[in-house]
Amino acid sequence: MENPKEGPVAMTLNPPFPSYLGRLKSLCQGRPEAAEWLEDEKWLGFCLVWLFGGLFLYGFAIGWWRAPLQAWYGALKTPVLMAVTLSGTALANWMMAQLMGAALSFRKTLLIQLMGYVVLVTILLSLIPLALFMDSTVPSALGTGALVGQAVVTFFQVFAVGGAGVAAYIRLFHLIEHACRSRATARWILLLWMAANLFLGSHLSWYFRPFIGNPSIPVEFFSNVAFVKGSFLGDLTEKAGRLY
Amino acid sequence: MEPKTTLVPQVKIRSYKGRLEEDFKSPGGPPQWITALEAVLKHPAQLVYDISKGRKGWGAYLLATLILGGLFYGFVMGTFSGGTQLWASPVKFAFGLLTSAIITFPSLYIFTCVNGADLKIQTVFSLLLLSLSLVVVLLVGFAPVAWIFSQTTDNIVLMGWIHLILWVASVWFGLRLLSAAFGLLARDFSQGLSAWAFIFLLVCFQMSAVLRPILGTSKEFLTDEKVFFLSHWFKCMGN
Repeated sequence: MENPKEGPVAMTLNPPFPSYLGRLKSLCQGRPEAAEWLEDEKWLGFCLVWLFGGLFLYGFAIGWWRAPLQAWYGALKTPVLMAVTLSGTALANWMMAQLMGAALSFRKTLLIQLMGYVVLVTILLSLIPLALFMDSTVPSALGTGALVGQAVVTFFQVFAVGGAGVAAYIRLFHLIEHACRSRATARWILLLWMAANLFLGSHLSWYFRPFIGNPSIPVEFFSNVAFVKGSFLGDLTEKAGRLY
Repeated sequence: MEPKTTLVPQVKIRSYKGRLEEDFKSPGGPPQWITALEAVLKHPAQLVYDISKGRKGWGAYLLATLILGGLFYGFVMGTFSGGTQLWASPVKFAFGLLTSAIITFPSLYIFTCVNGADLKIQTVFSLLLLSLSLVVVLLVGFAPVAWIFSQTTDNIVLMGWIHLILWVASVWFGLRLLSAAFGLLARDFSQGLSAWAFIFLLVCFQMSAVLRPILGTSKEFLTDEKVFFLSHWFKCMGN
């Protein structure tokens, strides 16, 4: 029934949630219209909820191998880790974009990276069944072979998060290219942003450990030797030796 | 001057993708199991066409092919040890294959989205069923080879390697079909599918360790000890 002053009245309500899922799918597909949504405040709100909710669930799946309590700790720390990584690299990434000749505002730089994290979280959510399967079937933290189990889960998470991060940033390419108006510039910015996030993200994951947990020590929110010593790569090398 | 004649007829060699593109049309007629089995091997593009159009019926036959083919190949695996493995191995193999597909399906769908394809979730699931049906049909074809080896050797490590090689070869053909199907419907999906293939094989191998013993014998249906599949393989080879 038409309202002559306001126009047609919708006979059916269109809830926003399904359309935001459709936008999420379009973002993952790399559709160019995703660049237009960066100014939509409600869409950004949905993205933040998706981001933090998804990271909460994935952090839970990471820690499940060690113990349910470690799962809850991981669920709380993983969104914080991503938030610190995003904010930690925001200024550097904006400056690198300026140096590459891209006329990107700080806000736009941050929003484009946020979209990248949204794609990352979507990929990680699809890997939760796999993560829980690995947690349940590799040597448990309480049995023999616990160190092998820890190594397997660690490598799985490293490849899952690293691979998802690379794929998400590659998906961002069209957004960066749309903003920069130059394919070559966008390519360089993509590589620099990816390197910065991988570098800081991996190191912060070491600093905020444990996420998976150590079977040799009780479950803890932060390691009692966190913030003090060691490195991400050094720990990874040591765990690689356990697999053989 | 006499015209040159060729002794060898000129045969146009079509690529796999090219053959599928030529065959990309409806098979015609109602879905039937025999038609599905034939189409899986000879005309998979026709099934891909019907799946893309949302035509119902093929999914059930593909699922039935997957289950029954898995049970049959599992039975052949069980003939190595005999006894309870004659029923335990088929159940474990079919269950493991289906569970591995279900665990890895969400990542396959998301990877297709990230790759830029705009396919419905039902379509992707049906394509996965199609490719796994091909895997199982190939395994059934390899079953006589596996059976002969299982009757002529008692070396469990050798049998393990034989089943592993046959499995990987069959999965390779299945993934080739899956990749070509995505290429027909959307766009090439080589890199993302390689990543997903790695995940799928990882889950299948770990599943084989979870459901052991499949080849050997045991007093229990499943063992309590949790192992990583690589550790288990190295341990078996060392023994």
